[in-house]
Amino acid sequence: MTNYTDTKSNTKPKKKEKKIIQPVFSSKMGTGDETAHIPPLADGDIRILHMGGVEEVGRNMSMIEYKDTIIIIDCGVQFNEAHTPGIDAILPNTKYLEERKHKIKAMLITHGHLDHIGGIPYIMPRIDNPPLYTRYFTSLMIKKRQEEFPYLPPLKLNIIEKTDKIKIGDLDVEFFGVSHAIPDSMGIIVRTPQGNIVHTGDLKLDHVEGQPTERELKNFSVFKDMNTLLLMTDSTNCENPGFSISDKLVFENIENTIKNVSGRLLIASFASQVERMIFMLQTAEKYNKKIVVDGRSMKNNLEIIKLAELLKLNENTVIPIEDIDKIPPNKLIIMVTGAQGEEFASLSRIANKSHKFIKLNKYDTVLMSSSIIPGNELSVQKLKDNLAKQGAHLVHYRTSDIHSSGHANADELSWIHKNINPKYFIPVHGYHYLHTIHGSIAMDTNQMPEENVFIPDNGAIFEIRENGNKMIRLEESAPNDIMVVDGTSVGKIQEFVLKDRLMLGEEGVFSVIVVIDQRTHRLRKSPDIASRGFIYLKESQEILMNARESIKIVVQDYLYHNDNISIDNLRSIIQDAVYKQLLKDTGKRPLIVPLIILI
Amino acid sequence: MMIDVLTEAGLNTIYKDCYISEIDADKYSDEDIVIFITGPEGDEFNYLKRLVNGAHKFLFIKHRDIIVFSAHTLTYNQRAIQNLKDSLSRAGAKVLHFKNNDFGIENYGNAENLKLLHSTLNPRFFIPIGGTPYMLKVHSDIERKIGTPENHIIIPENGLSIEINNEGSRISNTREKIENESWVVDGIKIGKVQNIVIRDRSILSEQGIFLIIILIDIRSNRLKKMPDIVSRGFVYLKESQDLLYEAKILTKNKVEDYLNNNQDMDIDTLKSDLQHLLSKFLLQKTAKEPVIMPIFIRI
Repeated sequence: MTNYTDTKSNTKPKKKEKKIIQPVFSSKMGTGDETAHIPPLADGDIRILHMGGVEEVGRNMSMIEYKDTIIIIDCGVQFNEAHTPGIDAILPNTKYLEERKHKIKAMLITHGHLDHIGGIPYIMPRIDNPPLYTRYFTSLMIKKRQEEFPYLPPLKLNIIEKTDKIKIGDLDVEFFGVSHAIPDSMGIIVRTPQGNIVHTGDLKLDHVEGQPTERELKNFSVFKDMNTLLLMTDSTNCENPGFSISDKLVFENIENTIKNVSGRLLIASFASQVERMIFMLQTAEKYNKKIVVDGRSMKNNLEIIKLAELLKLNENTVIPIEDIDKIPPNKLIIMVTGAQGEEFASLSRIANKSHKFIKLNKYDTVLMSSSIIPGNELSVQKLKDNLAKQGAHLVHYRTSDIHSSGHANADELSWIHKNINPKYFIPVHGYHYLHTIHGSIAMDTNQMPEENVFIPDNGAIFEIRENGNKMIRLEESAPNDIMVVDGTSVGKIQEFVLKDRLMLGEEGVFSVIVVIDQRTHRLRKSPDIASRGFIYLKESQEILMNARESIKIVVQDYLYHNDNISIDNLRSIIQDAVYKQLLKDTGKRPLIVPLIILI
Repeated sequence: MMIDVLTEAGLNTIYKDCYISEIDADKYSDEDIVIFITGPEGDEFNYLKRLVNGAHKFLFIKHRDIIVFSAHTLTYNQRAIQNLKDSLSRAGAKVLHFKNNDFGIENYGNAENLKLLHSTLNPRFFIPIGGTPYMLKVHSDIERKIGTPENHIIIPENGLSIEINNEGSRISNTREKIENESWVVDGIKIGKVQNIVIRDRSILSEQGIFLIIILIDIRSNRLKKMPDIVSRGFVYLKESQDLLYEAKILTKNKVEDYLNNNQDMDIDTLKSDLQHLLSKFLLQKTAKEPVIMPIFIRI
């Protein structure tokens, strides 16, 4: 088994199996000079900017700028939230980089989770495709994703080892290994004349009952005699006290379950939990079980694992799903996607009985080796309900230690801070509240003065000046409006469209079509109404009648008093009248859209 | 309101002088004030949000305020709670959450409590209630563990009637479903939810709406004018004029073609063909699928 630790990623797996169509970059994105207000970087000073990932969990992207060199760290994506309905993905705002393309010397990727690599296909074309540096497994993940965008120019991928030292423009860069849920996770050390900047990427500590292992001590030994100027590290789980559940314990519990289960075992996990997937596959084979893998992202990752040769399985250990009835139940392990209750994922279809091959019964055990990502609580609840109705026995992380996050808890972070001992600190990968907690941990651990802790916002610009003796946050910020992928359009989402969607989703739409005969200066016919999502029309004839009446009255009144028809005025008048009438009749406020046709 | 109820019930033991109105809050120094704040059930953080947003008339969050979240937060609300904590920390306040400190008081029994309850009462039959199907199942497992046979436990469903027989020796689901559709309050109307309306709202919020209005002259049986488009929540109209124009042309051609080849106007067929045509077109151009409504007006 590979010597990596293993844990949960905070990336939300892709919601639907949607085919991606060539995006059209919105031409009206901006005037082209949105960052002119930002003062130029003085020679010798260092600038740090985060374009995403510090006010949310997702779409991580940072950059370090020095003289003529810009190094980008990570390029992630975030999937939509409740306040952005219909949006496929949210990207970091890269305007600052786009207006300094010539300075970008490299993009470094810490690990292969979507909130660190998902933005690459959309953003690379905007910044002229700079060279990418990353480790082998990450490069496989990136390549796999790039296959969904066949029309894009090829990426300039450079594979590095964690012991490599390279020169990028005016800066020297080194790497170090970190423990996270996916193989080949790394941290980055940028050596500047002013001092070293360390970015750990996502990480936790491999430990036994609170004692970091030999491997961690070795990974972090590079910092022993280093004076670290600035540290940027993972706030995700800083709210959780102590050390996270050790992977050793999780693995033991999973192994026990695999060994002792009396019927079929279904394991739902994040496909991105590659380490855990490797362990489960090996353990299953150890106990002579057959494995079925169901779900696109899981199957993809299995391919990548095999390609990277991280696993040697017998040929017939993994069997096709069509053969599951040929194997006795207690010899069968089915690995599925859908731990978050995603609509079309494998486990959801099993739960709502729409899966072609897998039907649950009361002798089955379902192991949910994952946590619940905030926002998914309802869909996970529904999933568990559906599974329970079919009688299956459920084991999940709250009742049993079968999951552990990929992110460090408070005491792990404290250890990390103690061992790196930086002068300045910017907490990253989380939202504001978490960063304040993380800041307290840094201050308590190293007696760091409060003014050396900088809580970032997306777009906030930090500079280190005076040869490393001063760090400030600039008054000016880089643009940070939300950039989204919406169908084929990539660009700023127009506020109106979003607001309309939200309103449509709450109250529906009520469209009113008024045809006016210009010769007779009268209504040509009774107003037409088209409505959706508002009320059940078949039962609402009276409401529609009242609406029509009120429109007729105001329109006729307007025409009587006005020889010239102002469409805008008439539209407002109709909107008001209908609004009042509908509110009175139904207590609801649908989106009212009047259309006036003059013939 | 709760204070009034407690007072009336004789359960309020705090001296009257301790209560001050929010109007007088600034007359006292900060460390002498404790604010108890809540909101309507399901939105307990309503008033706290107003304080943070500066929308409260007299109170606002100050630097160095300490906020104690002493209530369980509904699981579905986590996003909103997260945003609230962010706003509070940006305002300089410190948040103590029961997750990390022992402020949480459990209102519901854990497994051990329930086991004790069940062993003490030792019922013949058991129906778990007050939870989702998953919770009910787990609860029924607790009852089974203390020895109650499986056929003495029924996991109920809304609207399903359960019967205990005459001798009291058997309990069963009759499988007869009594009226079970959810009733909702929607505006001023109270009644059964019409699934189609909810479904429409859901699609509308993701994809938007696209109306195309076609005016047909009854006498000549031809298009009276170029079709009009009304769209919301779909694309940014100001930047999509070309797209809309193309859609209009597409529609115009289709309708004219139909009118030329058909004496009888079968509106339904034309509507549905038009819907398919536009749906494919818009999907191809924008990768989105708004609700498409062709509207025919004959004058």
